[in-house]
Amino acid sequence: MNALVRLSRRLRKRPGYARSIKSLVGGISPPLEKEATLSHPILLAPIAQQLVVPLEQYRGAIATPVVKRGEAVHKGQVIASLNGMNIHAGTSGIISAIELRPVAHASGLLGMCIVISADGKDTWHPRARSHEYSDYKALSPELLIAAIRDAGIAGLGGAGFPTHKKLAMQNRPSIDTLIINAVECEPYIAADEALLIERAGQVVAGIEVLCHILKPQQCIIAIEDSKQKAIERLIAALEGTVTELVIIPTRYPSGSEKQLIRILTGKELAHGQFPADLGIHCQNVGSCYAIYQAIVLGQPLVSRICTITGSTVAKPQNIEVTLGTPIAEALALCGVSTLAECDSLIIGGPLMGIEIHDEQTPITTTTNCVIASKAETFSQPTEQDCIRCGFCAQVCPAKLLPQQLLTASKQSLHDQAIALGIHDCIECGACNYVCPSKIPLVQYYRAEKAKLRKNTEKQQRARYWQTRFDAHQMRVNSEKATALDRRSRALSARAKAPDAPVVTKLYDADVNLLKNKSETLKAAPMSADKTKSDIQAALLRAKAKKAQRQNSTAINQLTNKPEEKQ
Amino acid sequence: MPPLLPLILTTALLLVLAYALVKLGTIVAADSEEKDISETINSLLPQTQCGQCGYAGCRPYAEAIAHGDAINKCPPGGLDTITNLASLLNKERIPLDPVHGTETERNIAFIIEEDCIGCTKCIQACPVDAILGSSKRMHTVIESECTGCDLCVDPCPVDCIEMRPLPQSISQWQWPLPGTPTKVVWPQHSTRVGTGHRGTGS
Repeated sequence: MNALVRLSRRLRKRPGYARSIKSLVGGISPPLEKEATLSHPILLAPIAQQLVVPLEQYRGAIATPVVKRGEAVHKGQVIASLNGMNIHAGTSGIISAIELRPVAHASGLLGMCIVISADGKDTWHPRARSHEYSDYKALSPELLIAAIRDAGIAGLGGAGFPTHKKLAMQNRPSIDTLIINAVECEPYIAADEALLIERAGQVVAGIEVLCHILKPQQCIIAIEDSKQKAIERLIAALEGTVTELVIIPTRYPSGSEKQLIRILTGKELAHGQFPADLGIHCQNVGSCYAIYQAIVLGQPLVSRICTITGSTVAKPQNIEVTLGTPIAEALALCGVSTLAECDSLIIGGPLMGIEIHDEQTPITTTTNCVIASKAETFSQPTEQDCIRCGFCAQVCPAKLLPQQLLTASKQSLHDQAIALGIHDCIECGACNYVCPSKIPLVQYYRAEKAKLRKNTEKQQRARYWQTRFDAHQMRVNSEKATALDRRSRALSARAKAPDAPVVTKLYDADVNLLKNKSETLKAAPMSADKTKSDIQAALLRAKAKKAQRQNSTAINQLTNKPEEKQ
Repeated sequence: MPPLLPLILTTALLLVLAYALVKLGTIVAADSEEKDISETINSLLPQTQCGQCGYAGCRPYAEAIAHGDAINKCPPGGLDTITNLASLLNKERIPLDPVHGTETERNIAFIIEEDCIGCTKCIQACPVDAILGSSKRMHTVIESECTGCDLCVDPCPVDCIEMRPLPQSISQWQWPLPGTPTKVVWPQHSTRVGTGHRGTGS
């Protein structure tokens, strides 16, 4: 026992092991598959001929374009904006179109995009890099947050939450812990690791900016123990700063925000709670690098590092690519000769990523990895029945009961699904990975979450429609009452003077109605004859349609009859 | 001898009065309770006012359910409404009665404008005033207000109203169940059809 304590003390003297940490609940250790891409330096990808910039921002919000088709733009120029958050042109050229294009979305639906045809000069906009804040320590946090917003930075780890919103979360307890997430735990993805190996100094400079804005009591950068090269570079870069390096065991999904917070601080987030509620702020290293670029260099976010890998990629590597570059260009750069070879294209990792159906899909802020592979690599085997082995419950990092959740989801038992904590599922896919029956559990949960969302929308709509229906009924009833009233007055008038011509009092509303009618009739360009003939023609068309429909049903019945006999 | 008879009579009268009061109270209470229940049931119904249940709208059906009618007559509400009603009324969750229709995605009425003769018959049929137009002028449906109840289709003398599915967009899209292939809509680009799902982890 003493020997163990001594050993742990000696180990704790090594950098990165000083803090006592909690271990991840559950989790899996799949093969990492990152060596191939990390053996090459980051390749600076040439500008593609055409850049496609999607207008959709975080969670369906659509940015408004501020350029027109045919307009010439320069690199770093604002081309669209949403509540002050800008989207910038990745290169200089001409806006060739603003139209629907394939985007990185699981639905395969099209999204509105701005298309820039590059002129090949790649000249910066004169004002794009004029805001340099190298003396940022003298500036207020609000000003720096605004600068980050203007630079268009949104969570580069993959979630894409706007960074300025995260930084400016007001009315919350002040931040005491800043966590920098370098735990890139999903297989294949190596963009953050490559960034740390080559540009650890810049990342640390970005962390310094964050520390200045948030003024936390402690700042931790967490990294997995498998990333040895990055750890070495980080130790060197962190020399002389207050940021503490914490090395954690390699296990998926330690990099998930909720899980990482628990590992480092022991605190757990309830559903609906933000890290800021616990005084914690998390940022990804990619975002830190973007913040460095925005504040120290004064340069907007126009490129990111992206891992291009997979079994059909001849030269898998990390590339620094301009946002909006079609994936096909990036793949060609990494030695994919013909796109027909790739059976499946995945954006993100193999466990949480989405499959896309079009190689012209552009790379965006959140695209950290593209995996192009043969069909057999990630094929979905046929789903078998659950054998109740319980492996899924053992690996679930959110301590849920995946088996029972599956039953509830399959049977649409919404209350039960909520009670079992479906909203706490982070969709990490660990349960899918270990399931011996190859049940795609996460997909069922996603569908169930979608149903829950749909239900709430339905209820909201129902409430609205009820008010509309009540208003309609009130209108109909009052109209009826008015008509009845008018009729009874007319009758009583006639009873009083049976020989007099029927004159009912015209109400103001009726007078107005008549006036309007005569005016509209005057204004109408078409003659009464033409209207009549139009109506006749429409009636004829309808008759013809009806006849056609009847014919077709008759034919169907005739053709179906012999089948029925069989 | 004390006047016993008036005393007895007064007591009897008081008793009868008290009984009547209590009875009346329970009747009123039961009535208001029933109203409460039908109101709660009504709030669980989808309010499309389509009448597919056989009643003249959602509230009449809610009242019928409160009086013991079956809870599986509402196709627009579907299984979810049945589940909610079952848990409210402590009844068994039964599948939708196919006599009243099948559960479908929300459709929207669409007026083929070149065929419209401006007869206002659909406007009169619409339970939520979602159709805009006036006599001898072209009518149109306000998409956001339409409940998809189908009631405007039959009254149209020229058959120019169709029920169409809502156009799909990325912001409205939801994850389907596994095995449902996602639609790839741009023909010149659609090279693959997949499920859209990842996370196989193999």
